[in-house]
Amino acid sequence: MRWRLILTGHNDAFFNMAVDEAIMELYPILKMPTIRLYGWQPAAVSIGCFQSLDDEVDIKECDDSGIDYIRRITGGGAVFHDKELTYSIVVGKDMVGEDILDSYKMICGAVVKGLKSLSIPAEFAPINDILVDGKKISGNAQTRRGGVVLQHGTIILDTDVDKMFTLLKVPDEKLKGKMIQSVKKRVTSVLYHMGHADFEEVASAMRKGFEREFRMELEHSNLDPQEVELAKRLIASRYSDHKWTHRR
Amino acid sequence: MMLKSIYKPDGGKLVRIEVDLLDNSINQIKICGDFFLHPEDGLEMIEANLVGIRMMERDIRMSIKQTVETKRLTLFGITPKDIAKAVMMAR
Repeated sequence: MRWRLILTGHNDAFFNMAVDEAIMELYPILKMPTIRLYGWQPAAVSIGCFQSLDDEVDIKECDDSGIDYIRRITGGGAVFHDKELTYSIVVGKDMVGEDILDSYKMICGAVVKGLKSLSIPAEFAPINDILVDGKKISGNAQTRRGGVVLQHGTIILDTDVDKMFTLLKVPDEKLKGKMIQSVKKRVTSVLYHMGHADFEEVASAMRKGFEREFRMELEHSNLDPQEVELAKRLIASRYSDHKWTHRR
Repeated sequence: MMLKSIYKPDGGKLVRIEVDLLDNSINQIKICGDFFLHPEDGLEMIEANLVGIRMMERDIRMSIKQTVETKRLTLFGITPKDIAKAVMMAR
């Protein structure tokens, strides 16, 4: 079966999330397992589909800083997407198995292999994290519709925890300082481990990681015109819609 | 009056509850958090089925468990017991 590699570069949050969903929605028609590698411009905060926007995100601070905010269709927590490489994978359920935790392990296994090829000793940490020396370098989230699996995840190139906490709210403001220190101790980056963090270099490593994990060869491709068209519709009907963003 | 709670079980994900009571039963409830639930629209079913349930931890847990089983939902990072505990913590 032919696997596609789609490199869409840096785009805004609405495009990025709409394209992931469009690829998943059209999988039953196009039937092409797909790996997409991308970045975020401008930086953005995404929240999980079950999170409350008002509880998690300082909307005024985001607006003042030119940071987009968006609700994902996947669960999990709030993420500040800044200096990172994001991957998405869309495959048939038969290719990763019925068991959701096993499929997280398999897909995250590709990211682990990619990081290891950069001499970063990463390991999968269930449910949905990848750690290096006990510190998080990647968070991942999956959804399934019908027989199709979409998983997307971050690979942190560099962190700015102080900036992140100006944009994200914390359950108890009095403990914010402690939380910032705690997160700084629990998060790491490609930059920390390699001394540099090049988007293209990490993308190339992720390509290798997915090829090794799934024993296939990726072919460079562009989005199908149907995917582009559906993504445009999803931006209008979902991702830039106030009702979706504020639904919880 | 809307009662609220935040609960994070050890090793689990965070859950936030907003619940409105009527005669000590759930009149309205919102369950938020960074947990995973497949399929995702199952959360609205869990919330809808909790309306009318007495504010008793066992009853709440059984309602969630029943929805999870009958709708073939899969929860990760949080259990029906955790959600029930969080609801009972709401103040």
